[in-house]
Amino acid sequence: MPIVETISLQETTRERYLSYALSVIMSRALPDIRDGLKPVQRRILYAMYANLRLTPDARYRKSAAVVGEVMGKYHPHGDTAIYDAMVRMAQDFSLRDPLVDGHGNFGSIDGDNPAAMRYTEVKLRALAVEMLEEIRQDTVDFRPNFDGSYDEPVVLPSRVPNLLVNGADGIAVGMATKIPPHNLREVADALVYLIDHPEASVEELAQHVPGPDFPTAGRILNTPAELLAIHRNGEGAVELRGDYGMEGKSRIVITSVPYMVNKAALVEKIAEHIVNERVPQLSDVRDESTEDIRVVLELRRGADPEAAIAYLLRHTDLQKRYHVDMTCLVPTENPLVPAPKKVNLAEALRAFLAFRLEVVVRRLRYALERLERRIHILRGFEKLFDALDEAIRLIRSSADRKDAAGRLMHRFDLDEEQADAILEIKLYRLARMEIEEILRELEDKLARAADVRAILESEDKQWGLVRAEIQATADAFGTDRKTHIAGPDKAVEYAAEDYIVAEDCYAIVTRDGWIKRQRTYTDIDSIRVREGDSVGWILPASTRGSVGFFTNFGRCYSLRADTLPNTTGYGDPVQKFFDFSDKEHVVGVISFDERALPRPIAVPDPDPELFPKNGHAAAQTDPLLVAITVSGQAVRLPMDSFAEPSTRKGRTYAKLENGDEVVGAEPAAGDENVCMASRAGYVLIFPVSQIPVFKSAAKGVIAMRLGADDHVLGCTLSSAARDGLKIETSRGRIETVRTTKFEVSRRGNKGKAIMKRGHVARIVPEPVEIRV
Amino acid sequence: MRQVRTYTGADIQVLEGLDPVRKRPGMYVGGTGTAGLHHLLWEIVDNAVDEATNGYASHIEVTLHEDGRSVTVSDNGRGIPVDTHPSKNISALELIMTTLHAGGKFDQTNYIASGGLHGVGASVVNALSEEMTVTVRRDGAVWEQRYARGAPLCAVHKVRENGRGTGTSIHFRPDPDIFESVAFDAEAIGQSLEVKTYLNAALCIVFRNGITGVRREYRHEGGISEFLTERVKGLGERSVHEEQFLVRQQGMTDGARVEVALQWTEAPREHVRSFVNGIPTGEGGTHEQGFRDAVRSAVRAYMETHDLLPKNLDISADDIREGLVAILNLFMIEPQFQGQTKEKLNNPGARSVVAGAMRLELERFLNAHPTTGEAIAARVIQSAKARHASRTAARDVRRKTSISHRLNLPGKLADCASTDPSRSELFIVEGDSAGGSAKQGRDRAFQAVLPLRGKVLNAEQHAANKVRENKELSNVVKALGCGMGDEIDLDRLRYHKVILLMDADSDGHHIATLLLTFFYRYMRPLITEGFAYIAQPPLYRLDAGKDTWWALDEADKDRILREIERKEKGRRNVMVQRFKGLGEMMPATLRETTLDPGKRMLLQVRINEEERLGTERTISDLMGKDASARFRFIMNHAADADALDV
Repeated sequence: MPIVETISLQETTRERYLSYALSVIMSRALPDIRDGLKPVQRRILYAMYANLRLTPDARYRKSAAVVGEVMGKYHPHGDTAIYDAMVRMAQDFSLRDPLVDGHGNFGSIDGDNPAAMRYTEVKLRALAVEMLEEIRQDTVDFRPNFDGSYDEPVVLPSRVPNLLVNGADGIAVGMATKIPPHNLREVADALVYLIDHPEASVEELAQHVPGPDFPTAGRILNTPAELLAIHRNGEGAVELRGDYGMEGKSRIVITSVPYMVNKAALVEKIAEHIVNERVPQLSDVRDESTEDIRVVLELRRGADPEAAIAYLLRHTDLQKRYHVDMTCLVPTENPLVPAPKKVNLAEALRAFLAFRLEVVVRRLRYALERLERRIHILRGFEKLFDALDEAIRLIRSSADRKDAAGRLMHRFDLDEEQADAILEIKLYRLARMEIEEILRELEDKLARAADVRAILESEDKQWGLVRAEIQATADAFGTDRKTHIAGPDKAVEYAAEDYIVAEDCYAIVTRDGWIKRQRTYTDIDSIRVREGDSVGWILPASTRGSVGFFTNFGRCYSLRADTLPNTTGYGDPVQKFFDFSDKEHVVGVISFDERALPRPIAVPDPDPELFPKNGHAAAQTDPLLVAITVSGQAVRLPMDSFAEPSTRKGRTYAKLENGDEVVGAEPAAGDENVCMASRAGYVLIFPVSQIPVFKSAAKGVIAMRLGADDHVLGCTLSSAARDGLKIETSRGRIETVRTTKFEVSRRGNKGKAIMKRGHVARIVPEPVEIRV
Repeated sequence: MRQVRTYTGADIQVLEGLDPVRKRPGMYVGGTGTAGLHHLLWEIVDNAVDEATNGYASHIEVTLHEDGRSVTVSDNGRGIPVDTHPSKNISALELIMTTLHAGGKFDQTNYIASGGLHGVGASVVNALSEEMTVTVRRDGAVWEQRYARGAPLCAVHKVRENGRGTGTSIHFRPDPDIFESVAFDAEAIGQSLEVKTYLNAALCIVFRNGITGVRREYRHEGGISEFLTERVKGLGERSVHEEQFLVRQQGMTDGARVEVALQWTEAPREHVRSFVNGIPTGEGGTHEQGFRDAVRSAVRAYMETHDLLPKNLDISADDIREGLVAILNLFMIEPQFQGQTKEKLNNPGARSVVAGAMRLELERFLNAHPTTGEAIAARVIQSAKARHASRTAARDVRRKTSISHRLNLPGKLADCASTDPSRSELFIVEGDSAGGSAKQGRDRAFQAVLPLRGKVLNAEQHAANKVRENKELSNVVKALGCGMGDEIDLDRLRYHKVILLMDADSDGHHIATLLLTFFYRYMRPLITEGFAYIAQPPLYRLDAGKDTWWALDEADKDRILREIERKEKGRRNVMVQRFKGLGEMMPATLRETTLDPGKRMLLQVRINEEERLGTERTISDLMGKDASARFRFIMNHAADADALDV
């Protein structure tokens, strides 16, 4: 019967996807609200308890045996998935209170893998027994396993509020879960409080459970209000920080890392920051951990430990957020089909209590039923003992067992069960002492049955039992809180400079705009530059100070000298650090370091007629920036606003019009002379003090009156200490424009013609070198 | 009887003078076709241009006469010397025009760089022309000499005493006995002349076309930069940056001079026009290699310095040059060309000369023009990405028509014997364990099996390149042979039944949806053309004692139950359970129930017309990145679900 049917893509995709999604949600990734276990965990614990009897008093068994048992009978999936789940239940850094007792290498907080399952051995911890003990008392429902050959529990009759105590972590489809671990004692307190105050609010319950309690200790930085909100909403971010302290004056020791943080990776990360000199306060990191965590951070002499820690908290997992999402499976009317739900603290506690009540009632009913059956039989014995000899005769005279049973039933008014029990009785029990014993047992059983019945008739008594058991569990297994709820830490803000190693260096800039820094250099020719390029500026700088690049487009780009590539190679083009325009290039470099700047001097009274109304001639106190443009304009302005590192876009220092460009920008003390030359062969020297000082970027004033079609080729500032401007004429003559040769004129003049024929070909570039 | 010819010393000919040229014209002008014919003209014109290049001439006039067969080339250069050669005792002019390897370009005093360097130029043209007249203005007089087929008809003589200025004018008519055609192509001549004026910015060339009477004057003061602009315009491609890179390097070693203009465009190829001493080198050569070296290393260095190189994307030299339009002109002494037509430069030194002249300049240009540099970097990355995509696509498109193609099939594929797609079936099977069962249970004649490992990539959540790189999915594509994405070609599909064979558990369902999503997004025609199927393994397994039955569906199950009942009269306890994994079955059972075309049931996957929008939404909601859409879907439909796995 060859059949081909058609099926719509949409339909089949929906059906199949839904089947997959529900399966992952219901039977893979989410824990049950009652026992807090995912199916694979439940199956492992159940198989260890019920099939392999790996209770704490038993001997360890090979992990592989457990995995095989679980896989073959309950969990038809990969062996690694099962082993990994079991390993996690044994790790004291994963579970707040581990359920599995592992022997051998079960992995470490450094992310080391556990040994293979053929090496390791396991048994249950006593706490896990608390979750399983009542399983044979008809306390929970069972369902057939995947092939119907075995039954498995739908949920474990846990006396431990495991969902909250050990938390959960899982990614399902369309939803996920992340439940932090809590302290067993605190949770038990809250449960007891909730039994006593069934209407208790989340706030009241949070009094008992202030927040998560992670196995890896650490500190929670949230405010009580934030933690309450997480409890109320079942979601939110817990800010978690590892513990650390000072040891002497030169060491910080980290003693815990946040939950789920891989310590080895954290140490590696810290080391990387140290190696890259991003935390100059630290010189070394050492992981001295054994069973305890001990990561030693060596401080440099005199370094501020707070600053070091502040950096690490911000840039490493030493502080980490844990995003709570309390999604779990909640039972519905159909006991076999739970539904996923995000719950809050109160819901989780109530669900556990309701479950415990159900378990206790079912256990009591089961106990009562067993008592009653026993009583029934004992009553049969009782009847028999009244006429023992007759009974013996009766049995002796019977043809066979069946005959004996029938006659006993008839004679003593027994039912078949009682008669059978009598026939099974051992002869020694007919001794007087033994008969008395049986009668005492009957009395005792009757009394106990009455007790149980009384409890089953009173919900109060049932709750009392639930309460007592929870308390007993908490007393037996509770531990002190590990994670300190520290509350918010006043954030210490550190400036970026605090993390820069203070170091003197030379900022080196080439004519082509390649920039770098070197700690020292022997001489200018030894500095490596690219072919065809030459050194333009060598200025002393400090890594904590800054360097400004002034371009022909009137913009200044500043960076911290620390940012300059520290290399004896070529360095990097300045365009890598800033968004230069096409054809924009550096015409002036200033290192904002006092060793690189001229010392300001007192300036003689300037000539008032040189100053238009928009400028002023305030006495100079700091070195000022002087810039000259192609069209002969000049500006002078304070430069402190350029010292701060700029964005990639830079800042304007000269307002240029009609395609004008700056030919030179330099810092001036006030007593220098501006030496400039035009293409047509005019040179002009005038005191820099004749340029008015503007408050900020300006169009400036005229520096040199140019003829038609002429333009300024270059300029420099000369003082007693520094030479003038070197130019080359079109005929190859080299001339230096300096005060010893040309007379100092006034700003705004035409300048002096230095040639009759030809023109100035170029300015001979001379490196600006300030050596200290 | 065969006639025996003696082969003696008397048979050895020595071709004297210009005879060798006429005997073997191909050796000198590259052939006797149209190209060879025009080569005559270029020999003469290039001589004139050499004068210009070396700064002695500024004006050249080329006249194609009315007959279309004869040409006159005049320049205002120095004029060919007419005085008597000291050792040969004839006029230098005659020597040049009638002797091979006579010329002024062998030492470097008169010409630094020139196109005509074989020294055969003018004499070869003369030899191959039925008529030639050379007129020289020099030393205040005008001189002339006429030739026919290379032989002077008269001595060099003064035709006028008081000539003004200097210059050379050569009139010639190619010999129809030599050339297959002697008609000049006016248009080609005009174009080539124009190129020469681009390469010599100062030069003016006038071209008179006697056939049409049109006079054109070529002068391009913008030089190669203007040339480049015209080239880009001519290609009709958008440039990716405004400003051209332009470099003129002079005074390099051995007096070489390099001129380069270049610009990146959106063109899918590179367009480099290279010249040596103004002569086009259509086949490139060492100078183009140097150019390529420089472009590659400069752009790469720039991108490296500015951290513009993307990770996980290797950029080849071809990617860097894609869309590059460039003019390269090298002036050098003693260029060596492969072949007589000088189409390919052979000097090994040229490579480093050009690279050296360009590399740093180009890098400096990029650094100084950040917007341009970034645009170029983006263009390079774009072409690298495109190349990756197309290479992957090309690799995916395979057919099994030959053995070598078979070798390209994924190793895990257990192919079938049939090469007839309409008969062939491919089972895509979940997991190696089920794959083994399927391999043993199949009919090898026409059923192929491809096992997949684990969950395949979700095509909806990953970028196309990730999907293409994914090993499992690319195995599927390779096995199918029809390519994917836009290049899908169902004619190359190797199987007309592509059957998903998954376990009937939730993970099997998930893998089926993942594969269907991949088909829907990247191979949709597979579904719309009805080639995609889902196999239906049995739904139930019935165990009675030691016997096992498989039921394909509910009705089948009931039928089997009745049968057992009848046979065994209720003595046996029959266990019925849902079927789980393919690995549970023996290969024979799998064949019986699922593979055998006579017995199996297949579901053909379709996209119903009215569900087209719904399908799109379903795929994007369920498989996309937005978890909330999935959450809503699950919450709304949880109740409809069939039995769940445990």
